[in-house]
Amino acid sequence: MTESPREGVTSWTETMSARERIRSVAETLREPRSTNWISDQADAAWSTTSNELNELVEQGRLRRIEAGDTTLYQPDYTRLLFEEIRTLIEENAREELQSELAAIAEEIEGWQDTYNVETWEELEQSLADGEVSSAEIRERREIIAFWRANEEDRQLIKHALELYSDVETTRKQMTDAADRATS
Amino acid sequence: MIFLANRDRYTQRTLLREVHSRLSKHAGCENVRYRPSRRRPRFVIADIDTATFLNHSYDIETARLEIRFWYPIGVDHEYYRINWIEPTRNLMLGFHQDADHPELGPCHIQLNHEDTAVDRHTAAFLDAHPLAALDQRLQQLPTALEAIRWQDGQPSLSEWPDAE
Repeated sequence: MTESPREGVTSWTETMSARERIRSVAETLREPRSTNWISDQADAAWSTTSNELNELVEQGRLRRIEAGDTTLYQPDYTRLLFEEIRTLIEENAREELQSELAAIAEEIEGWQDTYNVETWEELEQSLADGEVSSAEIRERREIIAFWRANEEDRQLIKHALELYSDVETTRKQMTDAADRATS
Repeated sequence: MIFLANRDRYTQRTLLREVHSRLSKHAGCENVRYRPSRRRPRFVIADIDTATFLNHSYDIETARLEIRFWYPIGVDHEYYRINWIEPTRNLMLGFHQDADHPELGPCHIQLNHEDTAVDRHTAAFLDAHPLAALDQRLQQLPTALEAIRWQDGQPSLSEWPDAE
């Protein structure tokens, strides 16, 4: 290979600080990982990674797991769940959440009609049917992934709607208290 | 709480937000958005000013990046599609890590023209965090685009060196 000139797509090491990259990696881990692994993935120095991970543990964003001689880190998944719900409430009007539920229902009904099944599990069983072509299998796999994701999002949006009034009331109380304190 | 059983889902949503944030800071990426919606993220899409994004002049002024990450049942690594799309030439070049072409291994690079796959090659499986994999694939995009050959209006991708 000839030496490539200094051009090309910007790397995330140029647009994000080491600490930002460490946080991004650590908070989206699917399984517990070590400081070494995280520093390698985030392209950050070990000491910076170690400091940042400790800080994230202090903040309650990560959990530390002792596995024999090794210390591993993983996101606090409960916190992730509540943050998703909080974000949904803060970023959306109640009507927007309701119309998203309607869109999900409509999409699922479309798949139910197209494939003549009730659930994605039934659609998954149809993949074993020897008469389905490879292209059709690929398409059905796509639908199954989207269908599962729709069901999971529906549950999350429902949680957000159930908590909506309580969160709104709490927020109003905070605003009122802040107004009183500053007036 | 039964809804914690699907913790990958929250990881996936967080991951897509990180992808959105990464592209939003990226030179040449404009109008970064979710599809079908911010409430229900499946894809992160960005309009691309190609010269700024690639840091050199390019045949086509504007393109689109479509990025999807997901976690399939019973598979211990994430699936992704990182697609570069040129609507004007009806061309798509993408890194696909999924179950579609097991004969090519867990990851392949695919070139589509006029909505038909014209070439596919094995791409190295990166045992990496999704955000590190995304960075590496984006770094490889210029090389991949340069590897496209046009003859009589038909593109082809005769080889892909990253097949370790």
